[in-house]
Amino acid sequence: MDAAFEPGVGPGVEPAVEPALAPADDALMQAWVGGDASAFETLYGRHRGPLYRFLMRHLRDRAMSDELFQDVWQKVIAAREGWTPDAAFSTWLFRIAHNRLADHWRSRKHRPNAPADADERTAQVPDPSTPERAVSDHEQRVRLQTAIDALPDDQRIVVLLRLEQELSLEAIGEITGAGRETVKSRLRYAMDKLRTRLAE
Amino acid sequence: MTARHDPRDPLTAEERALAAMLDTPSVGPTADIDARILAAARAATAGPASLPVAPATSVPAAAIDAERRRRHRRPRGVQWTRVGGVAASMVLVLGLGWRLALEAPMQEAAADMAADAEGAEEVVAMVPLQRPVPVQAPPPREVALKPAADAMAAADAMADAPAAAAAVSRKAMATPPPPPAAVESAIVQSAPSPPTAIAMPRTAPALASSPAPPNVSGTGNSARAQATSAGIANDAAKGPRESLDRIEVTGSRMRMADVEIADDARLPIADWFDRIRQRRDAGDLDGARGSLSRFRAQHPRVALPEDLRALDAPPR
Repeated sequence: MDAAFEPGVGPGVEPAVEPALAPADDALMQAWVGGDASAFETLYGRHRGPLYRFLMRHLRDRAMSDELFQDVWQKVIAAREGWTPDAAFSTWLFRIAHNRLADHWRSRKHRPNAPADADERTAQVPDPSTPERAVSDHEQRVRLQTAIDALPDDQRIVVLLRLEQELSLEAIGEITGAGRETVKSRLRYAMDKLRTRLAE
Repeated sequence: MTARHDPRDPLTAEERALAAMLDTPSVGPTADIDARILAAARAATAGPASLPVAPATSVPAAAIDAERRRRHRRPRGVQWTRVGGVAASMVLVLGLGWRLALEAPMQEAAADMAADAEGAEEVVAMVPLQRPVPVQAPPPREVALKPAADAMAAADAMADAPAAAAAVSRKAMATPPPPPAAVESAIVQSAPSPPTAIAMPRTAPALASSPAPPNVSGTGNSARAQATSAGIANDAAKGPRESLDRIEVTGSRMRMADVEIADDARLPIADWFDRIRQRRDAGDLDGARGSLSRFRAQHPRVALPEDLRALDAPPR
């Protein structure tokens, strides 16, 4: 859960909660549908960061990411009563985000170029060990981000859902609408390209 | 949606290394966005109040709207189908009514035709009543100017006069009368119309050969009446043979004479003779000769009176 968000209090520092004691997404969702507003706060605090980064990784534009981020959560709020625990909440959430992104690209007809500060925003975690190590990591992040940007859309979303959300092939398939083997193939091609690009 | 399964799957070592390079935990939504989304969630939980979040523009929302429109379109399609069916039924009913409305006058017309066929003589006998009898004093100028060629043509036509008159009489007796509309049109056409195509070859040379030809090509009734009266005047001046020629030339007059002759045929023999004399004395030599010809055809063994034999003199 993101450190900048505190459920029940609003944006702030998240209190430490033992993972074993934390309720599951499905239970939180059902509690919220039943009228427990605090359940949604917990659910939101758990997925706000990954979802926002997922959008930011694709859009590379903060304003656009903010807009789509709100759209996705509004859809979650509007469709809460129709939600059923057939699939994981994270899968449902990222499927909504994926559809919203597809609609966004469809309306734009093409993907815009990366903003000028895209590299800086993708390499915001400095390594305090040594300056050489920090420079090396920064270069590696830039290379990785460049390699990800060069991937086809269907491969990019698969690799991002896998690396950032740790989703299974089945979950990625549910999100993207592709079969498991297709997702596996796309992931393999994407990883090969990233590996080759980073080895250059 | 497929069966429920764990959405997460542990990363491999290589994937974990790449994920560590991608990790940017400080990137996230602003506190304002967090507050808005949480407020919207609370409002949705509290009731169907308005959401403070920005208007929905996401694909799922759009998909929901599209689905709603599609669902609303279905009954609209059904409704249009029903409307189309009702319209088609109304068109069918109106078409049938129109046909029936057309058939009713046609049936009436057929009944009238049948009735007319029974009383054909009455219908035909009314024709001359609608037409003025063009009996005028013969203008001496045209009589004097009529050339000899006209007299020759009249003589040729007079040779055909009995046969033509008989043919016309047979036609009037044998052929059923036309429907009322046709009769009316025939009446309208026969009264003011120019000479028929059959009469044109005979009248045109005669009139064209005269030094002061009347305006035959004109459509005015006055010109036609003038020509007719001129023909009658010539008949009175030249005698019976040329008058018979005029009967053939003008189709309308032949028709009138034929009708009158048919009327005469109903009379007893003595009255028929009187009618012929009345026609002759009134100057209607055409009618008198036609009636006499009809009499001879109908009563070939009856001897003619002396005064009528001159009228029935054979053409030379």
